[in-house]
Amino acid sequence: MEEFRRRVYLVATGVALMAGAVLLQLVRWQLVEGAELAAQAERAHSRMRVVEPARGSIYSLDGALLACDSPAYAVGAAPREISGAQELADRLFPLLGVRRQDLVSWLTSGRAWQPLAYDVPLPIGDEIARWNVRGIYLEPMLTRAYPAAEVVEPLLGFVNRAREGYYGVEGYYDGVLRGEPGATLGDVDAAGNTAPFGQIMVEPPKPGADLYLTIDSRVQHVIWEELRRGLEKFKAESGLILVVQPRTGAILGAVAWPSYDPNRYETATPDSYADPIISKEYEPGSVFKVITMAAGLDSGVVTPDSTYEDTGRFSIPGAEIYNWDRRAHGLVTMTDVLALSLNTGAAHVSTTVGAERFYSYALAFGFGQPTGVDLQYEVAGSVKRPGDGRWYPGDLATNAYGQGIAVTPLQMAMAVAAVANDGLLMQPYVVRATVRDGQVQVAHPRAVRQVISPETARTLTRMLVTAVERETTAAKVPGFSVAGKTGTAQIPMPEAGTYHPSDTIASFVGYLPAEDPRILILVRIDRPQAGMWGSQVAAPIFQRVASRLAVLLGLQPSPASLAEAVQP
Amino acid sequence: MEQPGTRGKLDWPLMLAILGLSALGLAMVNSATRETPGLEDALARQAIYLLVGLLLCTFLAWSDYRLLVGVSPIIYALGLAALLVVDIIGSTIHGGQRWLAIGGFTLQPSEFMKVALALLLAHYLNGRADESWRFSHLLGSGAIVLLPALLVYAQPDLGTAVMLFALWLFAVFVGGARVWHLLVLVAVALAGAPVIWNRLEPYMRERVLSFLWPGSNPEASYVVRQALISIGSGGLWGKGYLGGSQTQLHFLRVRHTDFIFSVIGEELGFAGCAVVVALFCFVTWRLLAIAQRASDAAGRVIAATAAVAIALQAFVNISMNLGWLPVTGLPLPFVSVGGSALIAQFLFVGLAQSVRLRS
Repeated sequence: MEEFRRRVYLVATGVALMAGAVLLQLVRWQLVEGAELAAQAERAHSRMRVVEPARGSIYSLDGALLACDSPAYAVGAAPREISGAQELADRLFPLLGVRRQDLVSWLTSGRAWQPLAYDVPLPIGDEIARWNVRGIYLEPMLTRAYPAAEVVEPLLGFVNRAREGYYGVEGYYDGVLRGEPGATLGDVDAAGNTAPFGQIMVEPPKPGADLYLTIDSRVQHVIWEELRRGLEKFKAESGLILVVQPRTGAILGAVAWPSYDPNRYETATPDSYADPIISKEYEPGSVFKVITMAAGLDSGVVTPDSTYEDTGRFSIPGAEIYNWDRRAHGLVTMTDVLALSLNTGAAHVSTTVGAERFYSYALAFGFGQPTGVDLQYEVAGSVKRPGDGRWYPGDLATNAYGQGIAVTPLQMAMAVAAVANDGLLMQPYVVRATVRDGQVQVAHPRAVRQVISPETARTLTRMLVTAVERETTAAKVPGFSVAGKTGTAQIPMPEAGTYHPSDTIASFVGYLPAEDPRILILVRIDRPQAGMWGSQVAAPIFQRVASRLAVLLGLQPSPASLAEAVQP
Repeated sequence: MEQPGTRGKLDWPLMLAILGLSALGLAMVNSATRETPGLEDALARQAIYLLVGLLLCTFLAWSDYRLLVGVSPIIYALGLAALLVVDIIGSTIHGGQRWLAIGGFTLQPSEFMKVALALLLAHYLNGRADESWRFSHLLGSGAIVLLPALLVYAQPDLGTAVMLFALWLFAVFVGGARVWHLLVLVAVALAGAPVIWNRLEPYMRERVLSFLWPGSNPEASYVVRQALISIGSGGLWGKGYLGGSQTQLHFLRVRHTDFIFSVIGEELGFAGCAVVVALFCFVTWRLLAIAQRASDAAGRVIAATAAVAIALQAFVNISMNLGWLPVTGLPLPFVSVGGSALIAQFLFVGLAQSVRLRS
């Protein structure tokens, strides 16, 4: 009996020791390390969720909607919850635009989560939701919609799945359009779902600003139509038309073909995203003679009536150049050089001006450097110069008529626009106004520099009017005096170190009314198969565009041309 | 309260203590099973089991434990039969066959086997009270525990099997066995440990391994880690009843059974945990006091076994919550969800009360 009591005390002591040990552990975890563990619990339980802001919309100058956010569904599946994957795939694949076999393999993958499709239109998502199938989940999302994509691209660019803008306006103004994300802080359960009434803090997102472009939707539509028609007519693979306001630098319209559908950008080749108007260089050909002549006139080396004996060939160290018609035209004036587009005459001017002055004019006109237009991924073009190791004396002659020099269409257009604008080079731009919270911020035209004197500019304009009147009648617009220049450029083949034997780039740059230029139009048709000359291919397209825009924009007819136009 | 043939009185403080634990259990079960699909009726069931347990406890207290000790071989045989049935046809829950479905309820015979074992050991040792130190009696009583322990282990339920052995060990210890006899047995058991290890179920090995080397099994150590975070984040006063984010956001797993102590730790803090530990100490003390005053060896063994059964299981469960011992699936007495365990614990208390009334 005594022994029994003793042993029970031993058991009681053991129990007391266990209790003491437990209490010590509780002190350690709850009192000593409690704060740290509580912080761990807090971190695990509350989760910050980002709330995507609405991206700003993009409108044309006249208020047409070009890009906006649009509600859609992301459709996903929890394959583990799904029974009858085959029948479900049968019902789903036509609606989601996904291949049936892909869908079956996803639905039977046994994964916890599998996204099926994004950007699913609302009616289709609602239909799927009505089936009420276990294991299929719909989540609202915002997708970017481009109602007029075909007409406007590639100017706008696109927005990717992560809602980042790339290329064009979307890329350049990504920070403005994007807005600021909001956030919610709330309790989540172990499965990551927000707990009911668990919201602790809600910070609403700030929507991005809306943009109003300088693009006039009517102008855009006209040039899109005329480009398509021209490409078809002259059997060309690609081309572009650019319309700018010489006085302001505003881009009224810009279209390039082929392009891609930004609504389905992922189906296009990445190469097609780049806008050829700013991102791809070409050799401008004879259009560049405008610049050569500007340099000659402004530096006082020549006047419109200066003469030059054209022997049909021009020799420089390392090169022998000929006219396009391989003919000698005898004694010609500088006006004739432009009108007849004489390569020898242009080379005569550039070599007379001299390399140093010639290239400083080229740079002053904006070649060899980005224009600074508000579009993403603009390239600089390339002007070789004495001393840069790539330049040869022969380049001074060939550059005079636009060979061996790489420009972008926008650079070419802006340089000629400077001539139209009394010698003042303007900074090109596409965004006219930014609207944030009802506050309108208007972009103002910005002059870059006075490249040539106003007198030189007006003189050159008259020469260009004469050139069109005399030799490029296909570009004439009834009722208006048009200043312009054709270009027929050979296409360099860098691998072969030569030019393509037959393909050309046919272009025309012109502006009107010549006495007070309102619009400048650059037309470029690449590798036309029905015709090869700028005067044949690009000039007629310019004529159609200019005629339609003159009416559309209410341009004031030129008195002299008007009198001529109404003559019986 | 006087009953014919009784001399002592019902231990009311003991009754109040276990009722307090049970009431706390119901409250914590409510907290742990709210908004949990599949556990909507857990609270109501637990309340029903509690009532049944109380009724049986009262019935046993008023009946003479000596009668039950007399028929204990039959009770033991019935228990063995139930265990056999479970092993053969028992419904599979959590990878183990521990349950016997009867109507809408499930019974876990291994829990009742603890009580039957205590009764039969009482019977065995009572008849040999004067020579209980003999090694042969140690082996004889060992045979009594070996059969049910093997059946329970085969379910497989290592935790309860070990618990049965522990109960026997303590019963023969307080019953008067020689200490060096017991040490020999323990030495033999340790020597046989590698053999047992090789025969363990993979999930049991995993649990032991993840206890010894946390991180070896991410799933298991996640569960234990969450338990520790729950307890620790409660601090001194806890996050308040129904206010524990670990519990309410379901980061804490199996929170209504194995880890209900973590719910207490999170929501009621160190204060709540200390009260629970104190209540268990109090219950153990009262039961051991009954053993001290018992009029015969059978009564002593019954009351002491009841004390050890409750104290040891509480300790193992709490240690598991604190990441000390492997996750064995032993519930916290009176608190965790589990009808059979709850009723078995009330049976122990009822038997002890009967011993007290007749001492």
